[in-house]
Amino acid sequence: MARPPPPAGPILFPSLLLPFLIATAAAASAAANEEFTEELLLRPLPDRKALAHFYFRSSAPPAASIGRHHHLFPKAISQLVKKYHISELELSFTQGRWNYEQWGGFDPMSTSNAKPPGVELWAVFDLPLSEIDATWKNLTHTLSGLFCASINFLESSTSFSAPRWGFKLNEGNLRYGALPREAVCTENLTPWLKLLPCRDKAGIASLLYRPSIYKGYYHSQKLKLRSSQSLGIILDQTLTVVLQPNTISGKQVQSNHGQLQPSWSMRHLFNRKLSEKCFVSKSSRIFIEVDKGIVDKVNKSGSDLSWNNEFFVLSNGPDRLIKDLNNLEVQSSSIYEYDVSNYTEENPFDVGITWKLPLIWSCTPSPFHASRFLMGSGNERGSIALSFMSTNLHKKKFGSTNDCSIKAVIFQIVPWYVKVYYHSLEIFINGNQKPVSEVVDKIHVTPSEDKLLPGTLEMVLRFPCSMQSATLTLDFDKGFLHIDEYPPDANQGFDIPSALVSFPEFTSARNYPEIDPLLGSPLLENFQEDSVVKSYTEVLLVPLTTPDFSMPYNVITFTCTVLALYFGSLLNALRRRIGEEERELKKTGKLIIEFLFLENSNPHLTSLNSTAVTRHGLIPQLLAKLRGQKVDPTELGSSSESIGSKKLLFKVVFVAVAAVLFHYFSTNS
Amino acid sequence: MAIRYYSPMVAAAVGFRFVLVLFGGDLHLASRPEVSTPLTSLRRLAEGYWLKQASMSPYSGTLRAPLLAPVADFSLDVCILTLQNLGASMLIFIAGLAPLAAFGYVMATHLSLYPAILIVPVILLLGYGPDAPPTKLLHLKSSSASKSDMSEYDKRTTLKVQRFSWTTVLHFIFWLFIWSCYVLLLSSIILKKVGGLNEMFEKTYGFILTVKDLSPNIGVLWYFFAEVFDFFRSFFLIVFNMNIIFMVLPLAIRLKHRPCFLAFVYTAIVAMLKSYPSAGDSALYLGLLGLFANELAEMQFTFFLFFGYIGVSLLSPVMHNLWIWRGTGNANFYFATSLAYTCIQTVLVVESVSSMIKHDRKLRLLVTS
Repeated sequence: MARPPPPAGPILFPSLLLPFLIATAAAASAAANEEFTEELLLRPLPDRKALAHFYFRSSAPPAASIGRHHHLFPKAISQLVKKYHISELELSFTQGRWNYEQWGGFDPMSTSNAKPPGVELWAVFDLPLSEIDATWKNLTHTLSGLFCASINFLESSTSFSAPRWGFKLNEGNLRYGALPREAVCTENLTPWLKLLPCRDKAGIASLLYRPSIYKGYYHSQKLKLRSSQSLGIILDQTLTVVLQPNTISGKQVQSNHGQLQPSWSMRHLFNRKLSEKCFVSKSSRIFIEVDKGIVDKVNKSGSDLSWNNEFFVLSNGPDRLIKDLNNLEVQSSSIYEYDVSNYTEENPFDVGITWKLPLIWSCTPSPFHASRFLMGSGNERGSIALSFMSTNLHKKKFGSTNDCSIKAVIFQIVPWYVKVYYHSLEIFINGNQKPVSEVVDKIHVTPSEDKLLPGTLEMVLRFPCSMQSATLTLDFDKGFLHIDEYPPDANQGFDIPSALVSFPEFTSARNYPEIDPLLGSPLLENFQEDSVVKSYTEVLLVPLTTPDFSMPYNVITFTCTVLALYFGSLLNALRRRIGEEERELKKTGKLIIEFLFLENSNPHLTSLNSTAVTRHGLIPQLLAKLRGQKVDPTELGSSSESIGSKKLLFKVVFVAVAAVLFHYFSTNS
Repeated sequence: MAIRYYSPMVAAAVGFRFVLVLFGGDLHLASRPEVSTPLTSLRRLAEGYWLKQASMSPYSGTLRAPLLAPVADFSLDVCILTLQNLGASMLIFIAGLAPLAAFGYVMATHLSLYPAILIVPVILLLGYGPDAPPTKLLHLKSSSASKSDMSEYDKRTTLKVQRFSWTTVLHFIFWLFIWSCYVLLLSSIILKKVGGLNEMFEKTYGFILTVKDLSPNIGVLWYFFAEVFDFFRSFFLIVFNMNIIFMVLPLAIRLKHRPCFLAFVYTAIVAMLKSYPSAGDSALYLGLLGLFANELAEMQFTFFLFFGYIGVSLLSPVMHNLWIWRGTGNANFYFATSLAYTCIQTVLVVESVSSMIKHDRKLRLLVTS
C-alpha cells in the first residue's frame, strides 16, 4: 500500500531550489500578477477520525493596474467586491457541528475554521453608514444567486444585525447574519469550485470526490474575501471536512491492541489519488500535521520525530518538516510538507499514515467548554441557558494562581419571536447564584422588535480562574406568529442561531520560526496569524405553538358574525321606540292588510285592531316597514315615483363621482 | 343611600388580594393570559424599567408594556393594575370634583387609551348630575305638577335639574388640559434622552391600535389577526377600532340622562372589543353592574349569562392548558371559548341597554298615566 520512500537527494534539491525561484519570480512581478495557490492539510484526530482542510487562495492586484480583465481571479467575485464596496466578507456553509472537546478548541483550525451549522455571513463595507443596509440586502441576493443557497433570507431586517463589539470591533459598517437551518450540499459546492481556476478537474480540488466528502461528520466550506486599495482582492476558499477513514488493513491490529488508531491514506479518505497539480497554481502543497499530544508522546518515548518513528510511519518521506515552537521554545506540533508539483498522472501522489503503536492523546481545549440549551416546557415561555465548563487550561498556561480572572465575550442573536427578557439574566457560578454586576463587565443589548429587528446580546463576562462551572440563564416568551410567517414545516420548530463565545485573552497562533517567510504558503501564514480563541455553541430548536392553518375563513366568518350580531342588535335596541312602534304598527297594520287582501279597494274602508297585527310574524312586519314608508296611501301617484327615481339617480351619480374623485386622488398621491 | 355590609365587603376584597399576593405563587397569576396581557404584564414593565436603567429607551423593542415609563415602584398585584386606575377615575367622577375627575381621566387615558371615550359620560355627569329618569319625563312631571298647584319651590328645583351646567364642564375641560399638558411634559422630560414622545406614542398607542402582539388572550382579535390575510389586515383594523367609536354617539344620544349607565356600557364595549382584553376589564364593568340592580331587575337571559360567565371562566384556562402546555389541544379550542365569551358580553350589553330603555319607558308610562 505505502509507496516506497523516494530517494532523498533529487527531491530535496528541487524543493530547496523551488522557493528561491518562486521568490524571485514573485519579486519581479508581485504587483502585477494574479496568483493562485492550493494547499491541503491532513491531520489525524484523537477520536479515530481524520481532518482534511483544503485551502485555495486567489489574489488579484489592485484594480487599477489590470483593468477589468482577469485570467485567474474569478470575475464574479471581483465584480461583487467592486459593486458593493466590500472590504471584508466571510461566507460559510456548514453541515454538522465542530466537536470542540475532541477536535480541539485552541488551535487555528478551530478558531478560524470551525463555523456554526448552516450559513453564516458577515461583511464589512467601505461605504457611508446610511447605505450599508441597502447594500447588504443587494449583497445577500447576489450571493444567493452565486452559491445556489437561500442567503437571500438574510435580506429581511429580522435576520441580520450590526453587533458593536461582541463579534468583531465594528464602527457600524459590519453586518452579521446567520441561517442555522440552511442545508448544505453539492449544489453549493459546485459554484464554489467554479471560482477555482482548475475547478475540480486538476490539482488538489480533484480530490473532492462528492460521496466521500459528504459522508463526513463535519463539512464546512468557507469563502473569505479581503480587499483594499493597496492589497487588491484576496479570496481565500477553504473546505474543512472531518472524515472517518475506512480502513481495511487495520482490522486485525485493532482487535489485538484495542486502542490502535486507524491507518489511512489520501486514497482511503477521498477515494482518489492526486495525479497532478493545477498548472496555473503558484504552489501546490500537502501537509500532514501531527498534534502537540502526539509530538509530546513521541518526544517522551525518546525517539526522534521523523516521518518514520516508533509510533507511526508516513507512506512518503516529506519534503520538509516544519516545527511549531510556542513562546517557551517548546515544540508543540509539527507539519510534514509535500510538494505536489513533482507528481504526474503516471506517477500519482498518495500519502498516508500507518500507526505502529496504540496512542492516546488529546487536543488543546479552549479555556471553557461552552454549551447552550433550553429549559422549561410548554409553548408559552422558557429559558435559554448557557453553560461554561472549565477545562483548567489556565492552570497549564499560567500555573495554579487562583486570584486571576478570565474574560469571556458572548455574542448572541435571537430572532424576534423568541422574546428575551434581559432583566431576567441570572448567573450561577459553581452552582451558587451571583449578582449580575459581579460577573458582567459590560453588556450591550438591542431589544428585538416584532417583525422588524432581532434581539442582540453582547456581553463581557469575567470569570474567576478557580471557577469550575458557570451557567447563565435568560427567560423568554415564545411569540405567536401570523400564519404566513410559519415555514412549511411549522411543527418542527424554529432555530436560534449559534451563540459565539470568545476568550479575548487567549490567542491561537502557530509560530514557525524555521520557515522561510518567502515560502508563500497562505495556509501556514493563516496559522501564524493571531486569532482570538472562540467557539460556537449549539443551534437551539424552539418549538412554537401553531394556529390552525386551515381555519382563516372560519375565523374571519365567526368573528365577523359575532361582531355583526353585537353591532346590529345593539343598534336595534337603541333605535327602537316601543311606543312609536306600537303606533306605527297600528297605522301600518291597516296598510298591510290593505295590501295583502284588499289591494284595489279604498284603504279607509277596512279597519282592523292592532292586536291582530302584532300577532303577525317578522316578515309581514318587515314588509310593513318597507312598504309603509314607501307607499303612502294619500300620495300614491306617478309624481312621487318620478321624484323618487330622480333622487335615486342623483344618489347614484353622486356616489360614482365621489368614487372617481377618491380613486383619482388616491392614485395621484 | 348607605350600602349594606360596606366595610365587611371592602375588608373581604382587600383580604382576598392579600391572600392572592401571599399565596398566589402557584397560580402564576402574573403570567396567566387572562390577567397579564401585553399591556399589563409585570415582566414587560420590569424589562422596560431595566432598559431605562441601562440608558436605553424603555420603549425600544416591542416587549415593553406601554405603561407610564417612570413607574419605578409598582403595585404587586398586577391583576388590578389597570383596573385600579379605571376604577379610581370612575369613583372620582361620581364625587363630582372636576380637577380630580380630570386627573383620573387623563391618567386612565394615558395608561390604556380606551378610557378616552369615557369623556362623554363624564361631561354628561358633570353637566346633568348623576343618573336620573329622562328629562322629557321631568318635563311631563313638571307640567302636570304646575297644573295641580305645586309649590313654587318645587318647580324651581325641577327646572334646575334640567339645566346643563356649563361652568362645571368648562372647569373640567380646563383641568383636563392642564393635567394632560403636565403628564406629557413629565413624559417628555423623562424620555428626552431616550427616544422622545413620538416614539412613546408610536410604541404605546400604535401598539394598542395595530394589534401587533398576537399572543393569546381572552379576546378574539389575536386569533383573527393571526389568521386574516395580510392584505385585509388594515381594513379589519379600521373596522374593529371603528366599532368601538361607532357606538359612542348612538348610546350617548339615547342614554344621556344616565351617564353612569352610559359609562358602564362603554366599559363593557371596550372590554369586549379592545385589542388586548384582560379579566380586569370585565371585572370593572361587572362590578359597576351592581349600581343598576333596580333598573335592570327585569333583564332577560340572566340565567344564561350567569352560567355563561362561569362556564367560560372554567373552560378557558382548561383549553389554554390543553393547547399551550399539554399540546393535546388546538388553538381552535381556546378560540372557541374566547368567541363564547364575546357572545356573552354582547348579550349582556344588548340586554342591559334594552332593559334600561324599557325601564325608562315604563317609568314614563307610570308618570303619565
